[in-house]
Amino acid sequence: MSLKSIFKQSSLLIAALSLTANTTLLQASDDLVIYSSRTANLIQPLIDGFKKHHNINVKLMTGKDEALIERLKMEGRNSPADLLMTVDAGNLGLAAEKGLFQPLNLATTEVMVPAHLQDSNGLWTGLSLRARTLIYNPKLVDANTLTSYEDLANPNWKGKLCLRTSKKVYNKSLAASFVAHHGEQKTQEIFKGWVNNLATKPFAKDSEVIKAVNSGQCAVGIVNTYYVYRHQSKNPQSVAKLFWANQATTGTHINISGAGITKHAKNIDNAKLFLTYLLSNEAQKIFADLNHEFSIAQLLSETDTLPFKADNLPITKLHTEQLKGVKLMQIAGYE
Amino acid sequence: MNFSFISSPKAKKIGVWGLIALGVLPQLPLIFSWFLGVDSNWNHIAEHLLPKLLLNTLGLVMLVGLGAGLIGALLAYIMSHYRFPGHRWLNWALLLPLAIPAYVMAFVFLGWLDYSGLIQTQLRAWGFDVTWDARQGYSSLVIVLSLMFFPYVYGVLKPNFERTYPEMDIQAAALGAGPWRRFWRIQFPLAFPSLFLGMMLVMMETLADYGTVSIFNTPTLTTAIVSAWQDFYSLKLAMQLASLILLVAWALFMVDHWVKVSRPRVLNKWQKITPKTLKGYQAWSVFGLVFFIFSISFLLPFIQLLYWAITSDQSFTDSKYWSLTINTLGLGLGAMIVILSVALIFELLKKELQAGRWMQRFSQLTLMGYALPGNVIAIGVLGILIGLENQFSLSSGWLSQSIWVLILVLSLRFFILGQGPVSNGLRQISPQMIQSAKSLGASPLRLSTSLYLPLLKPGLVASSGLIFLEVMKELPATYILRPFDWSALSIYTYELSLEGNYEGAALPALLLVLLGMLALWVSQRRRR
Repeated sequence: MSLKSIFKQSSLLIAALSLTANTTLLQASDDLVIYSSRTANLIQPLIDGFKKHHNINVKLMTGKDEALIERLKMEGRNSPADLLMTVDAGNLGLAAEKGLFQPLNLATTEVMVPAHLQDSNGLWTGLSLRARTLIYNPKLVDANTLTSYEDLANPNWKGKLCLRTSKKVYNKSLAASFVAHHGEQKTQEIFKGWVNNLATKPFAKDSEVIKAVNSGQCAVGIVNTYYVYRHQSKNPQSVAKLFWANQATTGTHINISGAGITKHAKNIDNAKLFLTYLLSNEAQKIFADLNHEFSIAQLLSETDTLPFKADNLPITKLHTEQLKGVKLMQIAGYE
Repeated sequence: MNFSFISSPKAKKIGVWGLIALGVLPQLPLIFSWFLGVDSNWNHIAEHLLPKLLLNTLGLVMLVGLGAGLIGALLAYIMSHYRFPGHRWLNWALLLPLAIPAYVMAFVFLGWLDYSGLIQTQLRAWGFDVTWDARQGYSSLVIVLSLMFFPYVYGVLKPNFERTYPEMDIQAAALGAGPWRRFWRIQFPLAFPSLFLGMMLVMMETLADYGTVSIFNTPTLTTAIVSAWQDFYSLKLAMQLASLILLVAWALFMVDHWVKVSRPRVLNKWQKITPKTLKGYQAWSVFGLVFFIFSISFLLPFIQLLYWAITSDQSFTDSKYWSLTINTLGLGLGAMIVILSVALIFELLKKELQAGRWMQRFSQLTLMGYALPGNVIAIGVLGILIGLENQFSLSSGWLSQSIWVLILVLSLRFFILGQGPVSNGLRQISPQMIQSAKSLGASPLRLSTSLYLPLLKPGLVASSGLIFLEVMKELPATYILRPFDWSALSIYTYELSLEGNYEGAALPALLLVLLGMLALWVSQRRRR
């Protein structure tokens, strides 16, 4: 037998094996089925932690928000999913609006989520916090001149601002918060001001904004904090610094990662057990450590507090005002 | 039981039309979306977004088609007409850029050349005042996409440039035409349909590209489709926008058809050309040029990936990489087998039936999937599958989360990569040969196994590598239609890069590239 044919046959065998192996998996019993847009590597440690306390078989399907929501909608009452997890409030609100959730009715949890970080109808809850704030280059900017997101529309920042694309959900939520705080007229002016002040066209990723601020391509930018912590731990020589925006006014913009129990869930009790675990002090610590995010426990704690004042806008606004915000960004030419 | 019905012309006809219907299936939701009424956000999109993104899309498609066409044709000419040091391995290594996922190429390019990239940062450290913004305008984007896609042109064109037509050549030489002139007047025009086919693949890839344009943040039709779905929560709008891509692809096919019919079919005998062996500085400068293109399109991105993978927090020894690799391999091989066998059956049936104009036209529609963004195809198909599950009370996920259905969908998407080589191969088998085999009483089965298959084999093997490569790199459809707890290298790469962990994403990406290299090596080896 030549090498060639051995390779051929073995690869076919491997293919057949991998295919059948996965088909059989499909029939395995499932005690909790999660659809998640939080990626596998950022959710698996939480599932592992949960399994230490409960003998429950968890099946995970990760995907993009819009695809998971569309799938849930199409599957209707036949859906195998018990829980939908996302990394922003907008998509949770969307799923709730489409009638994909049922009321949570969670009993008392170790960490009680404040009302403004939950759905007003009790259909979903926040589980961890993500802050979006300013980053600046101390060589180019005196921190005393920084105040707020809104101030970056001021002409004295001309040619100094770096932004991430308006297509990213984090910016869409920020835009929604502007609409909620200031109304559409003022929001429109902010975006026009931002676009006029751009140092370069918006970047695809927060990590690129951080690099651009570091290298001096721009003096100031807007990013999620965990990217910065990660960047700093990998590049100790990096000069860019975080600035907590809007401390004198509305507070720094926060978003949540969160979850809701699906309307046609088959394993409601297990889904509740899982959510209760995620709101335990143990899981909250995993949330915070895993991705340099902030936990809801920190927001409530007297000792291990958040390093900034957070915006306490009802988080549902990030969904209800989002489309307006998106359109305003597009009209302003913010790509 | 009597099976003779299967070989009746009627059954064959049903077979062909059935396959056509299956091939067109993923596009149907796009067309049906228009029957749901015009989406209310069209005004906003038409006013604020559409003009710019149409301009961007068409501009990119043309420029990248030309850029990749130019690089691919130049390399095909050099590699077919000359021999020089390194020729043997460069011959197939020039296909390797196809193994690099789009986002990697874009990232490496920007990571080196942009304002905050390695080169400019170093130059500024030395006191040079360089402030080039690499993402501005089209130039960098066109260069990156052309470098990624030129192997399509190179791969399709080179076998044609390797042919010479002695009868025409001798006549032309007798009329005083030199070798260069003979190339331009004889070889090139005869190879032109192939050049255009290669460019068409490039243009369709460009149309469907999301990874690269989104990293450059250049709005195109594909990014608008994603935005329609994500920003306006409107699948209908996304599908209506995607049908515009269908229109552009359809126009490309019309041009391709025109190119094919407007050229004479070669009935003259051809021979393999005798390449010229270069010596001394000529040899080294040609090697330098080819190696330069190879370096920037594959070697440097590969080294960068390797570096990231080594310095990242991910480890080869993690057992999940083993299962990810096996899954990727299974998916690629599965789709490869389906595509090639279906393409073979499809084309042979059409040949048997002497397919008429309508059958030919409609069968072209099955190729459009290639230009469509995978997420739109996938969600459309998902709707159909879940509909079927509900209709026939199948258990949930029986179709919509089945690895077999995923293989089928990917096969529909990349069908052109099997159909193209098969139909081109069949066209080059002279009708006399088939006639004489038939007159000697060869059955259709015998005809297939001892005439078609051996003659088509080199083309099939060569394209198998390409199919495997495309399938294993595919992300959106795989991500949406995969079974529970089933992942592949492309998905894991994406998920790691999603939160900005590019170094971590480099390891699965590197495994992807290595698998792709293996596939190309195996499939191209026979040709040498």
